[in-house]
Amino acid sequence: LYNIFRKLIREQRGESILTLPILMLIICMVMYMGVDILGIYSAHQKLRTAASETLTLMKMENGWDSNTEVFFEQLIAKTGLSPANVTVTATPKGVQRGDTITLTASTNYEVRSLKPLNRTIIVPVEIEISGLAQEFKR
Amino acid sequence: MKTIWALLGILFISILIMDIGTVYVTYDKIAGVTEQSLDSAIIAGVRPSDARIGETFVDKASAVNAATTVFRNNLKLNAALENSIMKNTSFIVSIINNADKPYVQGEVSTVVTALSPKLFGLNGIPIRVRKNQFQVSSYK
Repeated sequence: LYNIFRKLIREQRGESILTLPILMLIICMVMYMGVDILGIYSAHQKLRTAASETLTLMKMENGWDSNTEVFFEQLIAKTGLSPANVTVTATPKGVQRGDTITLTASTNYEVRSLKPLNRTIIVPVEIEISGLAQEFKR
Repeated sequence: MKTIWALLGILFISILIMDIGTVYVTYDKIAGVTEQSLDSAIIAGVRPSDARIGETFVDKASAVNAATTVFRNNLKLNAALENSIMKNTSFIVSIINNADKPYVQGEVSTVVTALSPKLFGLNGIPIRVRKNQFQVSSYK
């Protein structure tokens, strides 16, 4: 296997002056796309962490109200996303113990690697998690 | 010739990176969702009347039912616990009702669909996640 690799590197057939620039271009594109994929993943992860923490609070309080919203926005701001770009829908307060509560959060991610081509693609990032309410109401 | 080999190599490496990423993300997701569903297993399994008198008994049937429902909803799986990435999934919830520290254990085993194992004739990469959730009772 080592000899095959060495032959490939040393070989000069089919080599032109354009080989290196083309290789560089391809590698740059792949790496640039990798940056964006990581960005989308990290936005996803931040949203998921904040949503899951908030769901724990919602489970204890049987739902979503303005205090929970403040808590969620603070968590979002701490992770580095802007709370203005995040839209949330959640089950409001007033459910009984054992009922399902759902939290849906979504934001948009702008793809940066296509900016040199003067084009913007916006990828929606959405999270939905659910759990059961905890507090027993008489 | 060299360029084509390099392209092939880059393709192969990116497939490998993609597969590792898929497995890691799926593992991470399953771990978080399992935690939430075990939590709801305890909520559904403990009766409020029992909890008030300090009884730490978890009803198995309703706990398993609730955990499976939450697990399925959160990962958007169908009735056979499958989606486009996770195949052949099993979600086993067991309740350990010992006297002082009762806990619920969830074990998920699934096969993550990936490209690179197909070269060797396999369907995907099998992973297994196990989580314990202790029952927190605040009775004094």
